Amino acid sequence: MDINHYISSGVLESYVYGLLPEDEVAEVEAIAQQYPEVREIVEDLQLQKEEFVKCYAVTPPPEIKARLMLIIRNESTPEGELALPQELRLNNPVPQPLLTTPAVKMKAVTGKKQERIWKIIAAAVIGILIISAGINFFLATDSKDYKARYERLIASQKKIDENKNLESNQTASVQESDEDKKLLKDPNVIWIKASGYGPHPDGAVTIGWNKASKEVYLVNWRLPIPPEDKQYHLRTITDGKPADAGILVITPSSNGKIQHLKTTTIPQSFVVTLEPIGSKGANGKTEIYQVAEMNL
Amino acid sequence: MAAASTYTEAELVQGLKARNEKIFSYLYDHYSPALYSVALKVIADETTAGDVLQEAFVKIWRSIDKYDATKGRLFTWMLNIARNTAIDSLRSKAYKLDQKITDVDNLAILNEPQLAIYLQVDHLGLSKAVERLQKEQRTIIDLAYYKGCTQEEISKALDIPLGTVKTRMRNAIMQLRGLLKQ
Repeated sequence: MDINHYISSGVLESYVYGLLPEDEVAEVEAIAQQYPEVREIVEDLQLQKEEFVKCYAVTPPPEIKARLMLIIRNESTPEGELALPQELRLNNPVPQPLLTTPAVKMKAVTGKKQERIWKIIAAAVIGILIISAGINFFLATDSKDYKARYERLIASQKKIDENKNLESNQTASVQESDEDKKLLKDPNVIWIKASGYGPHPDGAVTIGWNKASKEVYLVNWRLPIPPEDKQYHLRTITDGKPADAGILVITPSSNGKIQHLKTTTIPQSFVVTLEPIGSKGANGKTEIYQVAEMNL
Repeated sequence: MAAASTYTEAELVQGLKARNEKIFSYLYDHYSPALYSVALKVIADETTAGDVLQEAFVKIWRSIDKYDATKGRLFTWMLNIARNTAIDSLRSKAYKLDQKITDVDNLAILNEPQLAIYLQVDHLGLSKAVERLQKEQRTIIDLAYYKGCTQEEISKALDIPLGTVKTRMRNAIMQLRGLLKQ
């Protein structure tokens, strides 16, 4: 290779100023590793580009730094995540396994995305296996009963449609609006991170209470999706007396979004429970998932 | 900028990897004006440029493990992140605007009103050295670096043969080098 000709072709300048397509970028980087003189020129050009860019330097508005410091300080907390645009959040809503304690710890930051991708892939593979096993079973055991099969298919289709409708309705009710985003900065709203309870040790939700409007908010991060016959409730406890603050919407698409619940006067504690649908609480079937103390 | 020599580049990288807030704060104080200028030049809108700057610093914080010192200095890497974030933002905006009319026309980005204005008037006021760079030379650097144009797009925009784009780029950079050294 005529290295002098290569240097004078303008490819290195084009590389440093971002003009090259990806394949040529890789080529320049490989050649720079191989030829010290090329590497030296590239480094020199990079330094020069830095000087060029500095010619235009403009001090950014101070609130950007304040926002950033808040994000990095709270990056492993829901509050920090909420301050970020949706696409940058580590906790982008993902399908969660049914009623298992989440394995992801809040502190694992780097590699978490990758971990999640593997989880999704694993979940998809398991899903495919289950469907395939189901189809095999279905074909083997019932191959002649066409009528029953047909009816079952119709029934399952209907159920899927119903679930779909349910999902889209719920998603609509927890859409994150600009008004919601303002709540995060509203000095009247006290945000607290709930802690896990008993066999569910991980904090999974953030709860807010509006001093002005008395409204209660909740953001779910990692509560598992409830089984069909159960639902999550938020209950407040004031002077030892529990009160209902509303039923939570827990779907993959509701994660990370603010849910508006009932109003309550000066709550002391919040409890998230999983209860059979239609129950009035305070019976043996209620399971406590999260607790939060409001220190006013 | 007396404090600029407080940390070496290796210390900065190490500090970021150790999730040190003080280092992050230092890094922001020293490099955000340059990174913000890149975002502003690309986007020409202060609010969006501010969002881009914030996004770029979150990426720097979160992906410091991907920084490869053999490919260049930390500042170069940070500049690349800011530039790419800004260009992604510009392209998604330009694409949304243009998709109905031209679909993926190679020149969509050059037809963008923001760029047309930008090519006529510099809204930022350049330093004296860069002002002396011939307009033609500066245009090719700006199109490549700040607008993320491809060689084909530059060839069409400046009406020069595709094969000449790289040599024209080299001439522009060499001239710039001379001016910066003065």
